[in-house]
Amino acid sequence: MTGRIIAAIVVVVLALSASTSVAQRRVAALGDSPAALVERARAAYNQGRYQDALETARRAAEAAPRSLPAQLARGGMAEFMGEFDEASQAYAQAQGLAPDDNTTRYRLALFSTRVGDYDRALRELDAILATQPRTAQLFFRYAPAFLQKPLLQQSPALEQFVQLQIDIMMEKGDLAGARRLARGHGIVEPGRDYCTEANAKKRGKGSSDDDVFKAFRLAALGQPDSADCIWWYGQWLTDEGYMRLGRLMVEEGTRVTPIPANKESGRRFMRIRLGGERPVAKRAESLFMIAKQRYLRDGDADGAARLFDEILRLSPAFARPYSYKARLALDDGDRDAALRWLQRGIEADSESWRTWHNLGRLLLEAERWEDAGRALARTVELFPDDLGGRFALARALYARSDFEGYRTQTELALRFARACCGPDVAKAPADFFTKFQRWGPGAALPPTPDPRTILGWNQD
Amino acid sequence: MKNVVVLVVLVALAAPAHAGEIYRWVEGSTVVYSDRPPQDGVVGTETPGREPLPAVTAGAATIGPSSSAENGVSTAPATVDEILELSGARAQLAGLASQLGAGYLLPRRHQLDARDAARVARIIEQHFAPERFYLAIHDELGRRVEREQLDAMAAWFRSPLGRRVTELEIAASKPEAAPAAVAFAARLKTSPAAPARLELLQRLDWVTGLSTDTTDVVLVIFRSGARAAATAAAADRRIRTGVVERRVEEMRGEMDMANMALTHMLYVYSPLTDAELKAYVDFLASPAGRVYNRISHAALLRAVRDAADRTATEIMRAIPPQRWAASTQKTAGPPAP
Repeated sequence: MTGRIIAAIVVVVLALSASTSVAQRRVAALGDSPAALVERARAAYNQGRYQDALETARRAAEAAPRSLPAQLARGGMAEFMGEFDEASQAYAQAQGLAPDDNTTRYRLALFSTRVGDYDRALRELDAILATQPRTAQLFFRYAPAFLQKPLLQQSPALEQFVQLQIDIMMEKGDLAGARRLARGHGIVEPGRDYCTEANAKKRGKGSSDDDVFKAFRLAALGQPDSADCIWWYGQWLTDEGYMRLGRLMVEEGTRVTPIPANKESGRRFMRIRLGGERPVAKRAESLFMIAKQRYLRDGDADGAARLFDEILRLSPAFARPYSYKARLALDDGDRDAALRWLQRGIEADSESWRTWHNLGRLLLEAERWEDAGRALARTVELFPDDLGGRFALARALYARSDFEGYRTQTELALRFARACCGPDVAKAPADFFTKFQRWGPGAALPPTPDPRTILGWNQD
Repeated sequence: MKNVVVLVVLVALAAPAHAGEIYRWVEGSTVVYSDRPPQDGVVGTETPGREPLPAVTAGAATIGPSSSAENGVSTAPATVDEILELSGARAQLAGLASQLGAGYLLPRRHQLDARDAARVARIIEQHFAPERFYLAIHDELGRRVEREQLDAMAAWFRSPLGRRVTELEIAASKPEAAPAAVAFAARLKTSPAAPARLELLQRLDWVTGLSTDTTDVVLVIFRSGARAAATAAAADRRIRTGVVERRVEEMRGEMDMANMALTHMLYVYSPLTDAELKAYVDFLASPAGRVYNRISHAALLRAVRDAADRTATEIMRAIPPQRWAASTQKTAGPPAP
């Protein structure tokens, strides 16, 4: 029934995860042919040599411009590295070579989602479905959930197909439609307490981050009244860089919660962490996540810097990339340039708490106590639970001999640390404060840890 | 107190302890400082207008009543020179400079051939000259300390107890004191120090910033060495400046200097009674004591940083990266900060 869809998707899923040894054996057999280059590119990808993978895929596509696998390999690697124009060209060429190929259509649907062309993505998925027998189409669209569920369980590829449809609907802001789809295909069941399950996974030690993430996603889809879980999911997405989906979830959690303080907290999160009303283009958001990976995972500072520049061209009011530009400048030992990037970030979004936080801490490093004090005061004004910001503010005040100010800020931070995270999270500042209470001001400045405490507030 | 910073820095750097005599001679137009004697035929020199730095040699300072104490305490107006003399800073800077220099870039030096290694050693010796450190502290104290504060410092340092503390600090800085210090630290495991004594020493650390300042000095040396090593690495292995900085800074949290300093202070001041130690801590906590420590520590840190940076620049100029890179390839692995 859905065999052809499954086959098409399995090809895609397996394509990038083919084992290295198999790939290497094939390469040896194929010599330097375009097919060998494609295999070599996949092997490089599997070994984490992403730049090498892209370059090899390029060679394959140049050597065999009419080879579908070569064009798809080039498109896939370019997409993975954030070279979206190149990916777009490669996919277009691939589709020109095989207009009815479902693998190509699926890859295009994924890519279109990544760059925010949701209508195109849905069109490609519809086209895939249209290639199936009429009965299969009707079954897939209208069969009851209890029949759909075993089908999806037997076929991970088909499940991915549905999950992509759900993602697209959520990305478009149609949460109700996404939930309907999830229920219709038996991905979520009525009456099940997904939120409790997700929280248990979060607390448990055996679950991976990915498991917990998926569990909260199910809660958001299957339990529309689980305000806390929807909220957590939104905060998690935000940390990862999904600004648009993060906003959708936080908005929904804020709408659903009956507690006024939580509503206020949700509104503040959207304002100071999600950029308020400032738009972030989907393409910029996707590039942001890739640029972070290229910088943090691959150590590819030049490639990342270029992508961050492109992001800022696409969405100049998106504050988060400015912090990474500052970090890259710091890596070059240029603190002044880093300060300028952070100041530009604040000009772009004057309520970006994290940018103020980073600016304040960098000024502190530069021992510009007055400026640091001002930036950090703004930081904790925007987000009063910012432990790292408050410890940093306490240090700036101490350095200026404002010991009462230091005392006030430290007491606030320690009280919050004890309540939220236990005594260990702020041990060094607490020890320092005890000595200060006993002996008065000392010669050294107080420590300023910046602990990761609350989901949603940690990245950048 | 300067002495304890010096002591703890040395312990932290774990440099070979050979704070023996410091030799000074002229080589071309440069005054060279070294803990090794010059080769035959080289003319020794002294800095004009200033007494030569005393060589810290075994047995030069003994614990006991000082001659000044027997003769009564002077009340004459104090000078910065006198303060640095009485505090033991002057005596100990020679050893400090020599050993900081000895530890500088040490893991990388063996990768060079004999000629380059000798050149590096010469550059280090020139820049880690005790006279530079002394002048930096001297000038800063002279510029920033008020007359009343200077006299208040002198009142302590001239006192019999002040002299005794200085003598203890100098004695503990000598290489031959190392085994006793190690044995003392081992004994602490079975017979820990009394809480009252610990409290006094923790307060001493608090009012002087001893462990933080010591960490800073050690990190300055590590940082400069790491930067030089990064510059010398082959282009494809080169670590970016800011990344080096971050990695070195991360070492701060791993150093646990407070405990190291505490153990060492327990040893250094063990001959003192709690009352005597309290008197010392009270002086350090006084405005004059705080000013002395704050200014001298900051000046020392700056001088060490300058020396390290100048050394790095000159070494890189004298030995181009290709020669380091070639050496690195001959040995193994990427450069470690």
